[in-house]
Order: sequence, then structure tokens, then C-alpha cells
Amino acid sequence: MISASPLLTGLAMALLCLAFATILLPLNRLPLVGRMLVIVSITLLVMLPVSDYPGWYYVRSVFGDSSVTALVFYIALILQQHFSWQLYQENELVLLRRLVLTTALLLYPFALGVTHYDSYSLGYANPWLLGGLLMLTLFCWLVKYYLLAIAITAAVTAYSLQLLESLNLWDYLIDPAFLLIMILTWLRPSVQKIQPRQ
Amino acid sequence: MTAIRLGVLLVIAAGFTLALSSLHAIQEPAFVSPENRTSRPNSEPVLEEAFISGDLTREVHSATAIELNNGDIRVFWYGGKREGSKDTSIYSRVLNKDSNSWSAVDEIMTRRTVTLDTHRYIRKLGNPVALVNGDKIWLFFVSVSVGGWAGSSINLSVSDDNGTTWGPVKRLISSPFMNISTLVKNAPLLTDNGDVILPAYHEFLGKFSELLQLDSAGNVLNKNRISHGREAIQPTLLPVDSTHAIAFMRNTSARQPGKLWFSRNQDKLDNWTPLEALTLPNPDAAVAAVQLNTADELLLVFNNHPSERDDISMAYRPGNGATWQLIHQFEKTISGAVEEHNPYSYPYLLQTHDGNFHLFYTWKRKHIKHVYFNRAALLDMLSSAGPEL
Repeated sequence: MISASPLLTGLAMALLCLAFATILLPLNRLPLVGRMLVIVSITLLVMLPVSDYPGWYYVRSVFGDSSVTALVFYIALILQQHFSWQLYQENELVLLRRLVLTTALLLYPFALGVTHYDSYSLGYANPWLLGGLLMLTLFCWLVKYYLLAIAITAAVTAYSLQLLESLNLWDYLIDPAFLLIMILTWLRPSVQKIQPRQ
Repeated sequence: MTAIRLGVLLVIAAGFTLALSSLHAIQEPAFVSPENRTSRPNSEPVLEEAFISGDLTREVHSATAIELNNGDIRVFWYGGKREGSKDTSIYSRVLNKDSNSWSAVDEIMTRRTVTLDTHRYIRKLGNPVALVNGDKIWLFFVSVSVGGWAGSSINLSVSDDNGTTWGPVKRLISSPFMNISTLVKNAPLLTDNGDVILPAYHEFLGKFSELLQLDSAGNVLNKNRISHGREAIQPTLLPVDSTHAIAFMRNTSARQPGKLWFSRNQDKLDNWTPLEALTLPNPDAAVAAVQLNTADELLLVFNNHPSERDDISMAYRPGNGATWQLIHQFEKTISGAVEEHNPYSYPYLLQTHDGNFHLFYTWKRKHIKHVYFNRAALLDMLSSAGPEL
């Protein structure tokens, strides 16, 4: 259970920081050993105590928990960028970004009180939302966007097992840091390309 | 079909089958009906006041109280150098029913405790509210990691020894946006299936009221919005029957300020009437209310001014649709002698099982003031009621 395991929660926060570093820092100019050193350093910085508390306490207090979809993408992003695993294509990233941006637009303003309607409440035990996600996942499978299909399935599975603190499905699918990462991948198109093996 | 393609399809099938099979419909909550209180009109009128927050902190705010199963009163508040300072903690003490004496002030929740339990850095603590849930006490309180109160989240800790010790702090997840901007101020309600309805409010882009439905483990199962926009916060929720409730709300509106907001749900908890401005004034301030002999006979403690919190008054409404009458004034700053802005605020009114009342409120941010009055004193107030409001 991620929410009950400090180690897993800390590692999830480390993944978030590594995703930010992958997008914002020119790590692909470094040799593989250099990238490994940066990855290990960031992970240690996040996991070890800073002042009184582990560094990930501070990261988590700002961003909240990462969604499961985001964690799957961060792993793929890091493996693809630093270890040249071909886990997603540019088209798949474009679709993921559009989905995240659209969902954020349909979720956050309403959840923050713009209207009486609260789309966040749709995430509680809602078979229609699950059905819609199943359709989307099957579409991704049909067009061979396997990372996206696996990411959504992982989120749905984690939701059914209540692996995060939330019982709301939206929290397993999207989070504000994920939205920010998606926007950054749009601003830094080099992230979409597979890095050459060192 | 390649092995990868087949494998991904099997993973999808397994994941969604598990998710669909684990879905449980959320039950529409039914409130536990308000109890009839024992009335003792023949006793002598008693009205006693005292400052009860001690001198451990320079400022105190936002008191809340519960009647324990043994009849004692446990009160909670937060305090520190000032509102929002880094040394804020939740404090508590107990009024012994038999000896009528207060226990020592205990610091029951610090930001370090909350940081370690929730695995998040906590910068300050805020409003507590409590609930007696069977043989346990549930304590909800606000914490902030970043920014002001707009960055608040709600936490829950449970005590199974009447508040002497407290279990691990659990974070309630109530918003998709970094889980910020949800606060509590007023008492939760129990439902017949063990769920808890927690009145909450937002203070970020919107200022609005909503209800969180929690299961018996304190997980948020559902939420229902009472208002939206930037109009109404700090709902005081009162059950009318098993499926209906009414809510009084602090008016934060810029376009229609100065009057207390009211709403009632029509059938389910997700269907509330549009905000209705009552005749009662409201200077963007919290109110407290309790039900008397019937669900519609109400006492309401409030600031009787459309723009200043320079008094603490009590109004009475004999029934649904009846006019409010001013029946008592607990505090009144003499006009022109106001020493500080908004001296009296955040009332919390508790009616005990013996039919008597305990009122707590913030007194010039320096003290939590406790006013005890019995039924006979209330009857006296009603017999000499002031003007209609």
C-alpha cells in the first residue's frame, strides 16, 4: 500500500523529482555514468533527511501524491530518456498530453468551485467513469499505445486496491504535478525524442 | 497477435475486472435524529462565565467542544504566538461534570506530530472540530504546508480513551488540486450506518461550503456541494429528519454581504436550495446553532452586526418560518471604545444531554471564553426576549 508505506511514497516522490530533472536539465548531454550519478544523487537527496525530515516530506507537502498514471509515465520517461528504452512514441505522448490537459480543464476549475457542479465527485465509485476509461484503454490497445493502456490499467487497479490515501479515481489518474510535467514536455519537444544510446 | 499485444490485453482485462468487481455503491446517508434533551425548568437559573484557555500561548482561536460519554465536557482550540504562526498546536482540557473543575491544559497535537504521521511537512495547525463516535473521539483539524489558509487540508486523529491519548494522524483527501483548500469549523453529524457527514468549506479560488461523507475508517466516500462561487463558508449543519438537514453559513459575498446565509437540502444531500439571505446580520463571521425541543426550534449564536464582530449575541427561533428574536447578548463592546478589530468570534454552542448549554468563543484572540447556562437561564432569556430580527 503506497499510502501506508513511507518507503514507497518516498520513492514515488523521487520519481517525480527525477521526471522534473529529466525534462528541465540537459542530462542527455552527459554520458550514461554522469546521468546515473545525477539520478542517484537526486534520489538520495529526496530520500534522506533534510533538516528534520526526509526531503520527500517537503516535495509531498507541495505537490501532494502523484497519480499512478503519472508514476508509470515517469518510469517510462526516465527509462526512455536515459537508458534508450523505446517505451512510447511521439504520437502516444501527444495523446497523453491532450488527455491530461483536457481532464485538468474539466476537473480543476469545477473542483475549485467555479460552478455548483463538482466533476471531482464523479470519481467516487462511479461505474460510468470506469466504463469510459475501459473504452479509452481498449482504444489505446487497438492503436498500439501500450504505455497509455498500461498506465490507465495500473491506475484503475491501484484504485480498486486503494493503494493511495484517496478513494477517488481521479486521484489515481491525474495530479497537478503531472499536468505541469505534461506542459513542460510540450515546451521542451526534445523530450519526445528517444535519446541515442551512449 | 503478438505476445506483447496479447499480454497487454490480458492485463487490461484483469485490471478492469478487478476494479468493476470491487465497486460498491455509495449509500445515501440517513441522519441520526436529534435527541430530546432532558429539561429541568424548575432549577435555579445559572449563567457562569470564565476564561478557560490558560496562558500557554499568546493567542488562541476557534474552540470546539464535545460531551464525553461520562458527561464531562472536552474542549479543543488552537493557539500559538499568533494565528498562523509556526508554533501553533491544538490544545484541550476537560470540564469534570461532578466537580465542575477544569483539568490542566494539554497540548494534544503539534505540527511535528502531524508532520511525522502524515509524512508531509506541516507549517501550521488550525481549526479543530470533534465528534463522539461510539466509544471513540474523532478529532478533525486543519493543517497548512504552504501558504495561508487557502492551502489547508483536513486531518483526522482518533482517541479511544476520551482524549487522553491520540492515534496516528490521517490525512483526508478532499480535493484533486494538491488536496488544498478544504477546512472545517463546525460539528460533524453521524448517520445510521456509521458514516460521518463532515461540514467543510473551501477558501482558495472559490469560497464555498460542502459536505464530506466519511466511512467508519475516516475515508472520504463522497462529497456534496452546498454552495459555489465565493459566497458562503463554514456551514453549521443541523439534521431536520433522517434525510433532510439545514445549514447556516458565514457570508463571504462581495455582491450581497451582511446577512447570514441559509440553505436546506431538498431530497438527497447533493440537492441544496439556493443560498437564502436571512434577516440575521452576518459580518463575514462564523455562527453556531443547536436544536431545542424540536428540530425546527433553534438557538443561534452570532455577531449581531452586518460588518463588525464587536458583540456575541444569541437569537431564538420557535419554529420553521417563525421570526428570530434576540434573546441575549454575551458581549458588547461600547461604541467608540473598540480596542481591537473583531474582538469576539468563532462561537461554538454545545447542548449537553441534561439539556444545558456550554458556549465557547474567541475573546480578543487572547482567551477562549466559556459561558455555561442552564435551561432555567434560557427560559429567563426567552421571557425577556429582545426585538425581532
